[in-house]
Amino acid sequence: MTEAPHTLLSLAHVTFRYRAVPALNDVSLDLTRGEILGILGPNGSGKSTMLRIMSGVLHPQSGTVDWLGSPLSRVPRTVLARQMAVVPQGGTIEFPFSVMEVVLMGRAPHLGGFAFEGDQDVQVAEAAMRRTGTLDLAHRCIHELSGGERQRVILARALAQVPQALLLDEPGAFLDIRHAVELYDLLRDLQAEGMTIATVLHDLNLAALYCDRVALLKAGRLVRLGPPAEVISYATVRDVYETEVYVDTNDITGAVNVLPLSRVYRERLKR
Amino acid sequence: MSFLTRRRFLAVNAFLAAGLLATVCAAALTGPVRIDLGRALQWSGPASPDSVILFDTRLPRVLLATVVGGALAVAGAALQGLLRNPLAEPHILGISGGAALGGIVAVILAGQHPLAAISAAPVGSFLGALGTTLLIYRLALIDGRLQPYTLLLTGVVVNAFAGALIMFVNSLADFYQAHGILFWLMGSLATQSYRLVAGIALYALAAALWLTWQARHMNVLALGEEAALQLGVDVDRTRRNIFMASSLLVGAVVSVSGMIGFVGLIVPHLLRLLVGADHRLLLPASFLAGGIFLVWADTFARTALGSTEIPVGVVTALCGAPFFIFLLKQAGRQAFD
Amino acid sequence: MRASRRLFALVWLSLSQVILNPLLTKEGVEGGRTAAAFSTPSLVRRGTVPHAAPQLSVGWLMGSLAQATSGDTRQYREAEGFHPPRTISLAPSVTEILFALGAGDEVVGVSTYCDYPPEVTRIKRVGTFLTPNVEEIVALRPDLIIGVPTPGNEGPVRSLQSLGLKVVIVGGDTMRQMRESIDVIAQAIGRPGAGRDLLERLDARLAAVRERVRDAPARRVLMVVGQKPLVAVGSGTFPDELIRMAGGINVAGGTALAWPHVNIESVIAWAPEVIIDTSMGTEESPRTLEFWKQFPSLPAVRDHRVYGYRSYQLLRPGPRITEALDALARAIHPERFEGSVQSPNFGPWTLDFGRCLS
Repeated sequence: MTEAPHTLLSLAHVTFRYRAVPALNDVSLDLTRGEILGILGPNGSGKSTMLRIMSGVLHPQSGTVDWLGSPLSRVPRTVLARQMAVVPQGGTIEFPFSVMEVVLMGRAPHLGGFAFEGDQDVQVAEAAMRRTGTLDLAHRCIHELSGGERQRVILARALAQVPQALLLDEPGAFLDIRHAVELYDLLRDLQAEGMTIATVLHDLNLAALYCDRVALLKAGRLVRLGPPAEVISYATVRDVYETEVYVDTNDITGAVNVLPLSRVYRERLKR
Repeated sequence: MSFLTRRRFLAVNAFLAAGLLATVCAAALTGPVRIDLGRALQWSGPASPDSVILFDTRLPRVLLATVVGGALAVAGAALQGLLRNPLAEPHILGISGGAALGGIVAVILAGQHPLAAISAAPVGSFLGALGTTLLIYRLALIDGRLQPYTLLLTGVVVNAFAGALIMFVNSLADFYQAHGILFWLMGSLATQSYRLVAGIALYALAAALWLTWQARHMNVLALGEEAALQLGVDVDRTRRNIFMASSLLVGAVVSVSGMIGFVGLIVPHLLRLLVGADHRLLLPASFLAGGIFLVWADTFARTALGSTEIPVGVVTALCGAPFFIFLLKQAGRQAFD
Repeated sequence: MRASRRLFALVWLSLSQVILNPLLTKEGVEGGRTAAAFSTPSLVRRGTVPHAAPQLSVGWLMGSLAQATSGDTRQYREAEGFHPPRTISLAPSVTEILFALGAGDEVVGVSTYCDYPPEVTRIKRVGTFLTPNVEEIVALRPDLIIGVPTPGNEGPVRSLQSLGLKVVIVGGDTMRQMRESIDVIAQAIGRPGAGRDLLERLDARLAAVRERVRDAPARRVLMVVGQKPLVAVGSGTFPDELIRMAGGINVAGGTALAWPHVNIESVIAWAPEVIIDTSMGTEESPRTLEFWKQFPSLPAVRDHRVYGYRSYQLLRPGPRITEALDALARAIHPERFEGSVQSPNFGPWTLDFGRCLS
């Protein structure tokens, strides 16, 4: 097969339980090459769990997860790490590594044993830092950075892995509006270069603006899957999030717009 | 330099190795008894007291201090990486307590049969260390995985338990066993046997090299368990390997020299501040620097009071207190996030 | 044989009474020394060095001494109406003193380490040397409790005192303390005369040994009580005094400490001519002496003058201190004891130099 497979990641009837409670219940989903997939849902709906299943950290009790056609659990870890990168949310680093050292750890899957990083590795790392706007932080200690800066450094590390697919868990959580938009713009650029992206996010508007498809989860079940314009509607938001919002289509961007309403307006809308 | 290059690796290690060599030479010439180097180095004629002191009592002891210090420091650095806690120390996991208990029990049992070898102690203590390692490992497993936090807690509990058992055995057995317990609890590097030094050196070097080979994995482990998994590291296996290797290393060292604390805490921590957190450099550098530190501590222990010795564990502990104060001040200055 | 020994002992004792009596009168010896004993926790004193458990059969000298004391103390039953106190001993040395004073019948409780004289094994044990068992002691309804200061028995002692029991603490670190303790104990049990007699006999025997080694060239002696760590007998202890009385120089006596942890380098520099190894506890065995084979350059090792003793033989501040002196003197100046047979049961272990000496 000379052509790259169309579907990178395929989840089929995946169920995952923490103890007795199912965090994911019979979820089926495909990640298509070159798309940006948004994973949405209220708190506790299983978004992070799904991301962990997709990256192979968790193994479902039933159902299958395939990566590039073969079962995910069979793919050797180092091979997978060269193809898929994950940007987790938060996390502390106890030791005083420098930013450069952290980003260079993204090269670990490409290096063996005890080897030292070569010039090429350094160049890849620097390019990744440049794209995330963290190159001038290279010599700083990771402990000195703010939450947002650290998030971008972790993203640079993931980019240094030079993966085909990028999985992110709420990458905009610590970022202000400018940096959040910059980050998503970066994801768009990466998509244009051929990267496939799946990201968990909170912000319905950003999802509508940047994602090709969104998967909407509620209590571990996949409720809706499709383009944001179809999925994000007043009815679905009311069903899934159990709150009233004002949904509109934006004149400038053409994307769906979700406006939260205060109680006064929610009452009004009911009538 | 913000990351580790081959050049820096070689430079730092060469510097420390040179320092170690100088330390060994200086320590061999230092002691409560002044020796005449000329007389000591004379090959012909009967052995002068100077030569006996230099070659039969001082040199083996200094070499043993080098190996023990290096082993403790490397094990400390590895355990700090494993437990993701820069304040971890080899003795905190209770392996040394188990080793001491094993040694004490072995000596008491062997003591009933005067014909049993005096070397019952090292064998017994190594078995004690091995048993304790396995015990902690089994107790700390959750769902078949080794979590650092659980491991730390289990180790602390086992340590306390081993300590209690030691006191219990002590109270049951003859009061004079208490004398022997001093050796375990305060440590002693006194030896006249080059064979012992060679044996433990081989073991320690092999373990240190093996741990250094895992250094990259330890680096990545610092990013967090999930991140490490996603970067291709077999977290479970790496953790198990590091735990086993460092524990057995500590057990072997304790069986030979008793419990000498703080080396495994102070040396890696200081080095991390000086040469960075990258374990590929930290581990070998800790080995060398640990040797330097313990040789000086032991030289002080055997020289400071003239013909009377201070137990070396006391000297290292005395270094520990100001070090902790220094650590606290440092942590206070660091920004919290 | 027995009769002649007894006669010999009587003659000896009478002579020594006449000669030594004036030297032995002590005045102002108070009974209860508890407060004093506990209020001087010196760095030097690590508590009296206690003794190991194993039993060994008695040498001929001890036999005769026991014979002599048991015979004579019947003279010291005081006036009618004297009730000898029910006594509990908390230390092996105290037990030996009590028996030597003829008060053995009144001893109702001893520590677990008390092993001499052999009758002691039938007496109830009331706790270890370090921690006397207060309940068992009280249950025996003693009139008198005698002990030595050890790390750890302060608490039980104070408990006993607060219960109204009479507790006497005697020292045993130096010869003088040992002699005082005999006096104090004798007073406490109401046999001051027996105390004086015992002291006379001990002094006489000690003097006899000293006489034997008089003018002998002083030899450098190292006495150790432990190998790992290496702990030697220092100054201010009665083994140190015994060494000097036996005509030796205690090489480790120069430090201010009673039980210094010595550096092996210093030992090599001191070059002792005689080594007495009384390693205690688990280190007590003939094989312990193998340790010294690592130092063939030491005069003591070179000349085969390394002797091992069980700790109770040399480290118990009791009536058998005379045997200790005898043993030390034989070790230090064997040439002065040629022709005199030491009981094989009290003899030391020696290093087996039959194997190749490196």
